[in-house]
Amino acid sequence: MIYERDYGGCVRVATAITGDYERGVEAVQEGFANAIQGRHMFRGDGPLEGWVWRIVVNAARASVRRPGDPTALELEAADEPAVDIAEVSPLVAALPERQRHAIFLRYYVDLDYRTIAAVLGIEVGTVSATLAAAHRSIRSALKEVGQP
Amino acid sequence: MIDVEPLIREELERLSPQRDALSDWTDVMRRAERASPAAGEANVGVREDGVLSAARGRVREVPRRRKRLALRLAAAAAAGAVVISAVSVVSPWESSPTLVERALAAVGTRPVLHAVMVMPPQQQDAVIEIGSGETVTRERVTEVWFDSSRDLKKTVMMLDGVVVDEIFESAEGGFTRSGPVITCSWIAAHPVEATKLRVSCSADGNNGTTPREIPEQPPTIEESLSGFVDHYSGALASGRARETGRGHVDGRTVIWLEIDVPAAGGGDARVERVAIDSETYKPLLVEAAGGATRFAIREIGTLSHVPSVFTRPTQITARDGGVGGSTKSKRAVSPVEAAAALEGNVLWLGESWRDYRLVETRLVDLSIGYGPLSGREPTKVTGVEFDYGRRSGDGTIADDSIFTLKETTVCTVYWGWTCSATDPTRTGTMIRFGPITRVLEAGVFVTIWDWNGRDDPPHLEIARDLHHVGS
Repeated sequence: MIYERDYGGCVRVATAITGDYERGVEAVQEGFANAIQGRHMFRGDGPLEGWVWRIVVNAARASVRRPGDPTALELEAADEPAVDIAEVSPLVAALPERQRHAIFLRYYVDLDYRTIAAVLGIEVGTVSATLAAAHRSIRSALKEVGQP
Repeated sequence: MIDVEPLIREELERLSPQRDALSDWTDVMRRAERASPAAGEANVGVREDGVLSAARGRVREVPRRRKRLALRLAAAAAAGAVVISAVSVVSPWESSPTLVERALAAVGTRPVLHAVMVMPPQQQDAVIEIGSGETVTRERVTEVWFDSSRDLKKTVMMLDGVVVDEIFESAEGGFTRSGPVITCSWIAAHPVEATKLRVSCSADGNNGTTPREIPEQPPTIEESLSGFVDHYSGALASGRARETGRGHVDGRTVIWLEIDVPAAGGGDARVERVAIDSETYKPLLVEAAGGATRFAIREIGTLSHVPSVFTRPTQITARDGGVGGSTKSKRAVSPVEAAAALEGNVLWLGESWRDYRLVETRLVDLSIGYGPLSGREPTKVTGVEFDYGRRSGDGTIADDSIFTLKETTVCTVYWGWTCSATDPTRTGTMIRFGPITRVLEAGVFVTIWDWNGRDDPPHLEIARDLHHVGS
């Protein structure tokens, strides 16, 4: 149910994290497969949705962290993300990873703070602070470049 | 103060735009299944899912091919060793063969290796009789013919004697019942078809339109079998096999051998244990990865070349049930309306069942796809979904208590069925795999989707209490 309902959002978030649509799709498929394999590890102490999302986000992060993976190198001659986030979205790229991911989860799929907290492994109150910090950073970056 | 939200949304839209992404739950399940594959299972997973999987699986095909390259080299070397060693050990001037020599001779020296392996049962091999709750585990058998001198291989996977899939591999590539095995060589030779399938070996995804020739990697045997057969013989011949004791397997007295199998990538060697029959000296059982991989050898030997074996499987170009699909629309309806839409062939648990209540009934329009190479247009299928959720003390329904019944009157891969011999094939039976249970009852294909993954409530009890709407 979560898969079917959230697939599009998952792919958007994973694409944003990996910088590549194909990798994003791959990460979502792997993430849900991992969730099935590890379903017994879900302790029920948070939202199931958050637990699944966390696995998907981790799969996407892992995909980014393996630029030298020979598996990818073999078929993807240039194994860099197809999209350079700094070029497409310099404001978002400049944010620390946690802020970036909080932004993705909030704006792409409109997750509530409790679920975002479960995904990022932080307190609910920290989500609010993280998003506020992201907004502040973007606002000050805009001031620096002289935008209104 | 600057309102940054619109800017953020604009940037995020550029970074990862909304797309019509086609979900593929079957692929997820197969990936989950592939977590601890037994020998040959990777074949089933890769091939069974056919075109759609190939479209999604272009990266994950690679490690297998890489592994195969290394294995092929090992296989070629070891195959030579098998023949030379086996010939020498059965030479007439040898009067008192050792254990190792007998074991080598038991496999034979003809050019085609033939092995029948019984694979360990998996969760989805267990068919549950809904009435009695009795579980019957189907036997999963892989049969391989491998001719290393001609680069030919045929693999047939069976479940309780029914062929689930077969693969023919040669220097020209691999072919399954579902179509070609997608490799870079195939893509180069079929650029237009590959583009339709959304697969590519180039970084920019551009296959061009002019066919090119890239030599296909010759086949080899699967890693576990390769490790066993190739290195078994080689290890016996070179003294890398150690007798570690005796025991019993299925009532037969066996001699346990330990074999160091070189890693394909040149890493640390791994140890495989092989139980050989103390009378025939043929291997009966192989254990690898500390017992995590274990399969029985029902038959093994060598044959003369049999051309009729090495043929392409008959293609099933448009498998009933499709290779995937998408949800075109959903709308909430009453159970009676849902039943009418499927001409009364709808099963449910009633408005309430135990401490659950019906939360919503939906009529779903599905589009079933058969793959770009099938030549078959997508078809429309109507399905019904029932959501049931557990009532809490205050009357609300907790999201994580909801399970869904998805029903159609035709088999659909899109809703978790394989539409092959791996499904429940008799009415009144069901098969669980992870959070999904396939139930075949009264001609209705019911899938129980239970995201809590705890079998709570037990799927068997759900299946038992299903009845027609209105009955």
